[in-house]
Amino acid sequence: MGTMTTSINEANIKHGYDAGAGHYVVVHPLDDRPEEKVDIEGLGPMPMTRSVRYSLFSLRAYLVLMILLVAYHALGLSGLLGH
Amino acid sequence: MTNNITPTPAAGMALETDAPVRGMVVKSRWMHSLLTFLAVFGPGLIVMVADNDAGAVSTYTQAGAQYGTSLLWLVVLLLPVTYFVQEMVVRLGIATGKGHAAMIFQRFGKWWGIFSLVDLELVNFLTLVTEFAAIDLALTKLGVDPRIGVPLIALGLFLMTVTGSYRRWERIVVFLCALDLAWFVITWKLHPGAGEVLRAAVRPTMPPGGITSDFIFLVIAIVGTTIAPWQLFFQQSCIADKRLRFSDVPWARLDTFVGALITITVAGCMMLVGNASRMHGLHFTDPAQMAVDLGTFFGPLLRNTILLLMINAAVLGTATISLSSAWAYGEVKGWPHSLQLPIQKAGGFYAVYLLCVGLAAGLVLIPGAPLQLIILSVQVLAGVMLPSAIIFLQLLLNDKELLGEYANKPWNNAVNWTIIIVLFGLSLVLAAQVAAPGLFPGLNGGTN
Repeated sequence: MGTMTTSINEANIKHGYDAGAGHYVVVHPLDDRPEEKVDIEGLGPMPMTRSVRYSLFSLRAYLVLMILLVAYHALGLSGLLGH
Repeated sequence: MTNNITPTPAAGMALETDAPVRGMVVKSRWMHSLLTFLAVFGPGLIVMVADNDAGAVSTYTQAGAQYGTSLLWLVVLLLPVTYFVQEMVVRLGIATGKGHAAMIFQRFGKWWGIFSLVDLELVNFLTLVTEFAAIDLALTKLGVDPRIGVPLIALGLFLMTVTGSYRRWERIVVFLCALDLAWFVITWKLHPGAGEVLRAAVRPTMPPGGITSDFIFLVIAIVGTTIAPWQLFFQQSCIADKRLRFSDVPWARLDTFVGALITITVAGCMMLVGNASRMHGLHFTDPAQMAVDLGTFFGPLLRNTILLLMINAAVLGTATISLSSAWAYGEVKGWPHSLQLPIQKAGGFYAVYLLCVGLAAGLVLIPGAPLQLIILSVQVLAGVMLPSAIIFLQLLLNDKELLGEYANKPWNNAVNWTIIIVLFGLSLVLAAQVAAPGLFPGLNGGTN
């Protein structure tokens, strides 16, 4: 088994293997340094073709229609619409 | 990766670039692999097992009680489907370090972001009400006053989340997930017949009464229960909060696959428990009553275990669905939103969580609350939302500018578009039938 360490020489470690010391090191993600990720703020909105834009607009209309339909049906079942 | 990259800490947390890295030293390569997997393990298992919530217990046991083992093959078929959908979230979460709501907001704009958030919060809240309704029902059958039991469970759900430690929260929830394995013991006690089960699992068969409207809707309910919109938001936020790294992708995929395997086999067990009630000539009304009825044949231990598992399923569902709401809201509002933060530093995030749990628990305790109406609305709204949620996921996963080498491959797209088309067809039928029952005169049956 292994032992807990408080500090690790990261420069020597490749794919979890410390070649200098001849052992492997397991680091929990929350104990590791924050990793460099994709900068989504810098990318801005996704470029979309006109067909994708219209498809998403249709999808939005479909969702709104279905939510209204469900709300109407639910209100009807609860007796709030008077029938 | 060919795009811009930036150091990303857990949401709302300060960068700790000077903090020493703590780790565990091991001698062998296989021990390194095992311990790395265990360190990464969690989000995939939790999202999958929590998907077997109170609604799932009801749907799967009802399927078994009405159609025996006829629908086992469908559950097996859903294993790759649920894995492929959630695997996309794994790549997206690890590559960006952001939650799903934040991604939609930033890549599709404010209006789509708000729209998706409102949809998610609405369906999540209605689902939470059904979770607490199940807790209420099971507690009553156990002889516990829900007016005491429901607030206590809600308090427990709040306390386990506000500890300021992601790891502590994860350990508690993984323990609750492990309790779900008791479904295997119950199924084994009921002697379902291994040969018949294996045959039904691999060979699609038609139910004894043929294909009826009830059967079609139960099929739709099973699909809708196994893949839900909140899962996409939950797992991506969970991965971002746990700060999984690019090197963790293979382990996170394995975590998701193990979770999918467990949830599908547990779902099969629930169906077999329902089948046992059918074999004893019992009429199915709900899973709590089924537990009581089976108890007359197999004793109070089995009855109480099923009722407790029903509560556990609802608790797991509540813990994860409330968190998916809180994470999504925190991401969009730009609030600190991490389980690693104490309540003083992420007040808004924990307030949303508390509000979701508290309101849902309070609603089921109101005498005469329209619970059946809420359950009906949950089914339809979840069915309507699911395909559109997956379309956003699919578009994001094809965004090479965003994901580079982690973007979808052509075979990913072929599989995913097939899943989307099938889900869209099913959701249209379900939504149209429930919202306007007179639309298809030939399909007037309901299942739940």
